[in-house]
Amino acid sequence: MTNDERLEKVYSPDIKPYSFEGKSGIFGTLLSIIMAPVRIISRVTHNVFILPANLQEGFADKWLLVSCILLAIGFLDFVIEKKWPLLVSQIPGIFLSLRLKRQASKSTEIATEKREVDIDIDQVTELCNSVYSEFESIVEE
Amino acid sequence: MPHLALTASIQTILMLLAAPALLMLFGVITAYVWQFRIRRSGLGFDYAVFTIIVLLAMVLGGAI
Repeated sequence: MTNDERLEKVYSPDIKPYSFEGKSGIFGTLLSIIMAPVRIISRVTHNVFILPANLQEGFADKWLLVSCILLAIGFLDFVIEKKWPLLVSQIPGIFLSLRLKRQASKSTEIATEKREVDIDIDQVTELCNSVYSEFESIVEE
Repeated sequence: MPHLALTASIQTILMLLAAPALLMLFGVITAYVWQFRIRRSGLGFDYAVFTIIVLLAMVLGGAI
């Protein structure tokens, strides 16, 4: 290859043709748009149930606030446009969020309160010794 | 027209049940995103799509 030929050569990046297949293809995009609501509903409803009490309390606070805001918008919608679904939909949300908040705050109080157990020092010694003796028997086996 | 009556009854049922349920769910999900922020909740794109779909469905269905 002469120098002239080398100068004429054009280097281009690897161009991948648009594919219908795969995640970035048109079907993958459409599928993700269809699946997004399903995924979001399943994820949130699952996560809400397994949240620890302190996070659940925060979530209940936010839920109450969101419900109150949407209720106010729904009230305006009902007065101006005579449409009731937004107003009606937030009433159970307010009740459920208050209930969740009460439950979560009870659990948080139980978790943070100081727990005291009446136990004799001899019982403690006996318990520790029994643990050690069991541990020794396991090690010997 | 019987098919118009059927369409109207389906729309009434959807308005009675589906629209309030979906709007309540929207409230729950918005609260979740607010609590954990958009990045930590892991619902960025999904939440945007969900919001658009809910809004479109509600406006087209005449619920809001």
